[in-house]
Amino acid sequence: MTLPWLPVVLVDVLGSASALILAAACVFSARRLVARRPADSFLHYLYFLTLAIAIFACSRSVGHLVKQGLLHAGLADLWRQIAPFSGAANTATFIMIFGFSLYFDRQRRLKHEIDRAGHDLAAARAARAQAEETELRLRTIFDAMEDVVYVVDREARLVFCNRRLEALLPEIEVGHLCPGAKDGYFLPASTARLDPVTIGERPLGQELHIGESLFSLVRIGLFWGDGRPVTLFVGRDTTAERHLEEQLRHAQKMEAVGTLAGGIAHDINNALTPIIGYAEIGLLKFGSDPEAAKYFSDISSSASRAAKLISGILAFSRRQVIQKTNTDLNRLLRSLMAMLQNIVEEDIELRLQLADNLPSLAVDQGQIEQVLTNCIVNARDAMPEGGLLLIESRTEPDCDTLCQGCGEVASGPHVVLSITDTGIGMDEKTLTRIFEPYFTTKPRGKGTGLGLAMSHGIVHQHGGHITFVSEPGKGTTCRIYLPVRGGDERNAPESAAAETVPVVKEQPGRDRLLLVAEDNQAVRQLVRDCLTTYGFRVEEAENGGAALERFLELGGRLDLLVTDVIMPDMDGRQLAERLRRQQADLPVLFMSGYSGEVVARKGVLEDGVEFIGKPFSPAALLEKVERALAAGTAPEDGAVP
Amino acid sequence: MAGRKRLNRVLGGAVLLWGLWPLDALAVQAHEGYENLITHQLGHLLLAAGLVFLLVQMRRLPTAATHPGWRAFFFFLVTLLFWDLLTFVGHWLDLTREEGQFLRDGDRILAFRPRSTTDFLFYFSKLDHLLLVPALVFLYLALRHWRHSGEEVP
Repeated sequence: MTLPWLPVVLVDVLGSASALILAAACVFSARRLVARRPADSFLHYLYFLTLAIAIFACSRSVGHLVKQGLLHAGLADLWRQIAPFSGAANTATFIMIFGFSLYFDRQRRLKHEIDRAGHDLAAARAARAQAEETELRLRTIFDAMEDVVYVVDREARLVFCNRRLEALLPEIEVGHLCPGAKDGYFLPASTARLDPVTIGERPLGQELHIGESLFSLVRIGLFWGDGRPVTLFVGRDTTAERHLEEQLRHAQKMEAVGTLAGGIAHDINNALTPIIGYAEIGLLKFGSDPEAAKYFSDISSSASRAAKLISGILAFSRRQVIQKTNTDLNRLLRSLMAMLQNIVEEDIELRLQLADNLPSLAVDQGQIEQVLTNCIVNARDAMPEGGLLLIESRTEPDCDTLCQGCGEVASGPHVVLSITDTGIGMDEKTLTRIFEPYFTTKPRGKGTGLGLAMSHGIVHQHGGHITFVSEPGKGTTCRIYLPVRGGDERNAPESAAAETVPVVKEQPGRDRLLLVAEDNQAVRQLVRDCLTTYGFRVEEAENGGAALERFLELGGRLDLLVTDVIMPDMDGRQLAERLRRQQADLPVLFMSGYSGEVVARKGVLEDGVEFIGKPFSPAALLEKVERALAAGTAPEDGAVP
Repeated sequence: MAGRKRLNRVLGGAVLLWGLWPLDALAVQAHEGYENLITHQLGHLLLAAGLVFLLVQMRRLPTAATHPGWRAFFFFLVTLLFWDLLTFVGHWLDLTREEGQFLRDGDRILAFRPRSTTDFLFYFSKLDHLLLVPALVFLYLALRHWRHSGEEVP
């Protein structure tokens, strides 16, 4: 049996060629595989393993092809010389593949470890990025806070602080021992000692002064990120709140003082009214006797001083009755100048600078005069060696000034009256107290301490504000801000016109019939006596009901109703209303010893309503009565204002 | 310790005397005769050992039986192992053939006369590419599967 050798040769040649092609394809495929995931170390291993197999396949195939080629070409001897090299190369490739095979498992494990490390690293990076983001977020929040936030460890070293604390205390550094540290806690030197806190404890109520600011502290004991116990401090800036609380306390104090003053004033005014009245009547009747005249005059002047004191108390407590009239403040200042020349010494130069086109304001002339006088007297007293006293008026169309007395801001259009002196000035401490009642820097007996308190109250009652700018040795400027309110000014009667109301000078009574309704017997009697003296026919009633009965008994016709504002059962306004239903043109004169606020609530301070505040003199009463009679009739619709 | 020191001195002295009276050294040994064949056959054995090692390691993989890539790689290893064993046997059989069994035209062999079963095995061993080429095809398929799977090599 003979087997042909040709198939052997054909398989050898074709197989070698195919092996070459396949080896190249495998290497190409392995390279592509590595390129897909270059970070995969196992793919690199597979690539080198494939490369080793391809080298083996190439070595063997090339050798076989050369062998077949040389044998076919009749160069068998040459092949015999080459053959050992070809075989040796093949042997080397076997060893190479064997070597690679040993690393299969190791490479797999290495790859898994790298993958796991990579995942761990990625997780760690993600966690770190998240932590950084969280820290940044928290840092942003902490830094945006107006509160101070800081953490201190048991060794009194600062662990963390926000930007607010850094801004307040630039010398603070994390890791450094906190200044003023005691018992392991951060305590700036100016603060009181804080007791240590234990973990989880939240003591409240401590206060921390940093610079000008006051912080209310909350402390929380907690564990820091590294496990050490620390104390977290959160301090809320309560400076503004404290300021507001002080303002509120001041306002409440003023309210209480005002309420007290108002109540006292009513009773004292009722008591003073007959004293002043009868003193003047006595003076009128017994004035021919010099001794009696002196007694009555002393009684009258003492009672008037008491009345002035009551008026002052009502003024600073803003409960004074103010009756506004449309006033040209420039004219008011000019008229004051004559009086000022008398109270200002010659070594003080008095200068007036008035703005043109100053709008007229509805103010109580007498009250504003009082304010200006108080300020000017203070300016004069501040210049014992002489100097310049400058009085100015101007308009501020868009005012934005903080009132020192009440902490409010004067905003909008204002008329500003300034009194500037070149005197001794005031320090900051004095400036903060100038509006306090009975606070004075003047020697005992020279100042009551009520002047600026009254001025402040009066200006505030006018809706305005008052400020002082001063420095020791550089003089003082007082500015009075009075708001410009279009409506008020137009509605208020002209003061000049008010003064031109015709007054009955001769035979004032002319047998006119007046009904006096007053619950205070002494005052009622005084009014009756005064008006009887001036020739009026006076009927009395002790309350509203009695007044109604008397009105009917008198035939339902009166020339004037003089009534107290506040009476039991029926007040003066209600009485006037009831009577005007019977007699529509009945003139009414209201009188009261209550504060302006109380009287205003009763609606008797409106325009066109005659009012006289207690205590009053007989002359003042007569003037008011005459004015009410001259005003004639009630409003056309007959309604009580 | 003292005995070891004495032994070291004796050995050191012998080496010194050997150096003083040298014979033919023959430090580089000549390789002749069957050595090439034996070396080559050892190479085949190492290759077989490597392939078996790879098979064992591969079989431990959880996805070896299910993933087409590993299945193709398994067939590659098995086929190449068969090829390796066949050629290993073929090289030994080369030595036992008699010249008279070959019909020649000069140096070119025209036919082979088998006289026993091993002669048929010898003849088949000369057709080893019938195993080697499929083995390389399986390797290519394995790489292709891995490349196209879109995932990392499982």
